[in-house]
Amino acid sequence: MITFSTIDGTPVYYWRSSRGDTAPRNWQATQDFHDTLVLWLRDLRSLSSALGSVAYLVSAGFYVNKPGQHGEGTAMDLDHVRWSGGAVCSPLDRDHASGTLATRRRYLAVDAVCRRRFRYVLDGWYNADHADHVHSDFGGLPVRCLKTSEADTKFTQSLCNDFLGSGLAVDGVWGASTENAFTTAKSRLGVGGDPHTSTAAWQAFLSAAARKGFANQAF
Amino acid sequence: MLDRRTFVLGAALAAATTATAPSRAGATTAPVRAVGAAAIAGTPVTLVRLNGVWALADGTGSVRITTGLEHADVVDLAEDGTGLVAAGCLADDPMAALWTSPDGVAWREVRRLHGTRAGFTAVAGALALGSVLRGERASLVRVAARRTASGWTTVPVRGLERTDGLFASALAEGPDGWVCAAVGTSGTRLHSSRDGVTWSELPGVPGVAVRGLVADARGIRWQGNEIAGSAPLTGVLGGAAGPAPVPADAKALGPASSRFAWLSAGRLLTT
Repeated sequence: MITFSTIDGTPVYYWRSSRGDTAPRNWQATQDFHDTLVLWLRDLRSLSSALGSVAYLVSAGFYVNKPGQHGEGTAMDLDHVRWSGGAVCSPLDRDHASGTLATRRRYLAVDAVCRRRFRYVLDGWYNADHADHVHSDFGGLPVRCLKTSEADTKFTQSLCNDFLGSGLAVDGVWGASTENAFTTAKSRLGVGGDPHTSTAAWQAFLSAAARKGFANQAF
Repeated sequence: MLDRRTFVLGAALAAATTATAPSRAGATTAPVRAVGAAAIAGTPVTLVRLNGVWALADGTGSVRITTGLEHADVVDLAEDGTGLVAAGCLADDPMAALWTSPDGVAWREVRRLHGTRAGFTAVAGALALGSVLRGERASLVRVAARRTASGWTTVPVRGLERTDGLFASALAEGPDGWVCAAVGTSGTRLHSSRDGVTWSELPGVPGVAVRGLVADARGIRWQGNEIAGSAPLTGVLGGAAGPAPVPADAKALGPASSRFAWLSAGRLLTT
């Protein structure tokens, strides 16, 4: 386990006890998980560069002494992202349920960036416990889009609703309507390959979707 | 007062594995993973996972390779009156299971919840709590098992069924019944029950991941680590809380009899 207060130079704060607190925190995670966080943050910087640099992150925990991936030091709960241009994405404020489409699209963009590096990403659509943060961990790797995954399916359904206006029920069941919407999304994003079996194809899809999300553009 | 029992798990286990399995000699020692705590004849013990082996480590420096836990993913450990009980699930197929042992070395599976993805995450004496799991191993619904004259039997836990995605992280039995903890993003939620069946919520412990509980005549005492920073903390429910008298890297393991066990730099400490 290593201790860190920044990821690749970007500070990570804790707001659960005091919102807006910018005191440095000593987080812990395994070296492998921290290395993946660095890759994740570099993805985020690259895909959201139009918003400026990532000024800081806010987390609700990495290693946390409890059962599961947090207890192994291989999980992150993401509360908030702030860019130097002033934009924010705030799972803590339940941005996934915002009445503003641009806010939901930015949340989905951050969600997509998490999925580029982590297979188990649990977001606000997944269940009530994740309504106020995005959880990412080392379970289930490698990254792919599994039709049998409730988390992947709900993300895909929400993505298609907010970028294509698909009008899907976000129920976690990959049916014909979800399949059709996903096929359309892939086509409009110009993504080839099979994201259900290919990590590269899924990552390409997620990158393309994230770019649209940070730019608040439908596809 | 800190009772520091000095031994280094990595070195001790390396010696043990070399003695019992020569082919492992020279294998890289992985980071220590210790789960739960208990006491055998007054000696604190914990189960440690190193190089794919579960071993019993005690407070005297002894580390012994266990039998019967080869396919176990153990999450918690406790005393059960006659020996030890371990809670968790099968390693490759998340199926909740319990194991018992008279000495902490030779283990026997005593309960398995067939047909559902689940895992036990906290055990104390005659009660174990766990969760039915979603596909991504998130907690869906609470499950419980109770030791009866005929063995461990699943039982309802009214008021505790909805997990809100949280796993039970600690469990204790005291003079007034049971108390259990579950850790969320903002702190620990606590519930109590007189009979282990009907539960009601207690005030929580914000900012702390509670991993050990002791309920006795002095009240409900807890140990844990800060969610942000992992500092080791102890406190009394409804009373004072503060830094635990252990090194800053110490991780709460749970109670060993009436004391709290911690793991710090490969050493088992009790306070």
